[in-house]
Amino acid sequence: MQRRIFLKTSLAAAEYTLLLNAGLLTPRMVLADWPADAFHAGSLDEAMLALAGGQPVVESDDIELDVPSIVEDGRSVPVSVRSHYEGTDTISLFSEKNPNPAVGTFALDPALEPRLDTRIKMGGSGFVIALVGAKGKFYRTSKRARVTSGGCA
Amino acid sequence: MALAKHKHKILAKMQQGKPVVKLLIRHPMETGNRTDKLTGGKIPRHFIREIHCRHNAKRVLTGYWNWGMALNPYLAFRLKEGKQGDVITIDWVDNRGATESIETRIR
Repeated sequence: MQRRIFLKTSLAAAEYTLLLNAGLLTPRMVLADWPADAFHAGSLDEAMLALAGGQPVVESDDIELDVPSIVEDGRSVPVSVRSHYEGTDTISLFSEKNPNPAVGTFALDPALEPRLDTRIKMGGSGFVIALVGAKGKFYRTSKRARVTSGGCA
Repeated sequence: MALAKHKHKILAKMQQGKPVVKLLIRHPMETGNRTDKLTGGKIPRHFIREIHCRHNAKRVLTGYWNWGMALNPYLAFRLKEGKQGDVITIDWVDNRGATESIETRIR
């Protein structure tokens, strides 16, 4: 499952890079504005591609992502992300089963520890994904959570 | 108790030599997907779009959110350096242009 998401994302990233090279799209610099393309995207791949600026996203064990494995109330799910990458400057969160999977994205100054705790909505059981940007590269990790009552109904 | 007096809650304190900031905002964070049972219409989308966190006036964290962040959003972050008395300011704006802010000192 995770591998399939990764492969799809990689292929889509390759297409995106082609478009970039053809000058059809301009890469967004590190989060200068509300990322409408990512937030309105209806699929996880599309949303992630937009927030990674078209860069390839590498599956990683160097991000700690804590999400409860069983969620009783999908309207408020505690999520904790801790990146072990030096130079971490963005952290983005996704919930696979939301109508719009990208939930939020954060730009971190070097004065911050690369660690955030927050709460998100989950529209159903599925993966929560954390995407970390560090020095222009992107890494992700996923955690599966079972939701017994949804948050996007 | 604190919530009765203040709409939003912020706590900044030193923990193992480093400042930790915890924030709880009161906001409906409506997704725009819910139906109003009385009228049968959709409840309009209403969410915080942007949040800025400052440490002694220096911006340290910017968040862009969509409607998938939880009702009454919670956020906690940690600074690498800081001391008691430093000022933490947080302001945010929602999709209707309503701006709010909250300020505290590190304890």
